[in-house]
Amino acid sequence: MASQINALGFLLSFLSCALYGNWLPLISVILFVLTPLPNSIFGNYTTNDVLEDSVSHVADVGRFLTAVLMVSALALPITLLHVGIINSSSAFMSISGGLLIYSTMMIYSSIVTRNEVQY
Amino acid sequence: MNPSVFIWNCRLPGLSAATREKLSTYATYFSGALVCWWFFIDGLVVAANTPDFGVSIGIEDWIPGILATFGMLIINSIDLSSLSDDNGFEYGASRLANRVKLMLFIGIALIAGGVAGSFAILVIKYINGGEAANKVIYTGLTVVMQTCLVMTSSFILWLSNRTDQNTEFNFVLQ
Repeated sequence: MASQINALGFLLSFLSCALYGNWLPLISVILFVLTPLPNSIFGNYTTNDVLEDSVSHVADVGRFLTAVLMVSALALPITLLHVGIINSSSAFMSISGGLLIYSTMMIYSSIVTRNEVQY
Repeated sequence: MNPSVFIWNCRLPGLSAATREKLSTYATYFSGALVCWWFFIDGLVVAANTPDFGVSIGIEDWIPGILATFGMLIINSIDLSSLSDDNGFEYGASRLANRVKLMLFIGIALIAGGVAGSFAILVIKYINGGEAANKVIYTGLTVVMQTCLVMTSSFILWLSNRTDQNTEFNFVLQ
């Protein structure tokens, strides 16, 4: 089910580029795919030093970069639409396809981590 | 007792430690969402795509945003626990705390300078620039928008870090 929705998202985002012959919205899809990456890199960081009493802010860096990538992926089609490089249907398809891809990735990773905890 | 700078040192009531931690997480996401330069980029793209644009875009349009972002990096990279680092075998504040205060001052001055510079660019280039520049005032407003958002985001991040520190303090008390 999740993989079908993921394929639908990729279909929408490729259609938004291919129907109008303008491949700039594909950058937004790349940003959407990269969005979970900082959280997965920085989120599980734990220091080995038991005596260290300061709070680690490494996870905060991951959250910050995640939000930056998310807003960039959303804002790129809107900027292109504002200038008139792409039309509104292309921007809509690009954003909705990217959101579908991102949500299915999140659902999949949450399922995987839950199974790991149970195991 | 936690030493406080101000006389009104009341805590936020009714928030458990877990709620505070969650709030701090969301505040970090929110500040990351605000810090993006997309208003500025939108203004630049509009400027590049408008025929006979009334203002020439140069390096000076980039400088306020770069200064504000740099100041944000500085004041949010500081370990806040070193600000209250008064190991009492010396009179006055410790030297580490003095250096931390100097870096904080530099960071906040960079942010304030960025905001003031963006307003200066708006007034000099776009408002006082003549008829042709008045028509494209949107690009000038995006520079102001960008630096104000960076300032807001850095203050949100700062406040969320403070909350984080309080959480740790409460946790130690229990």
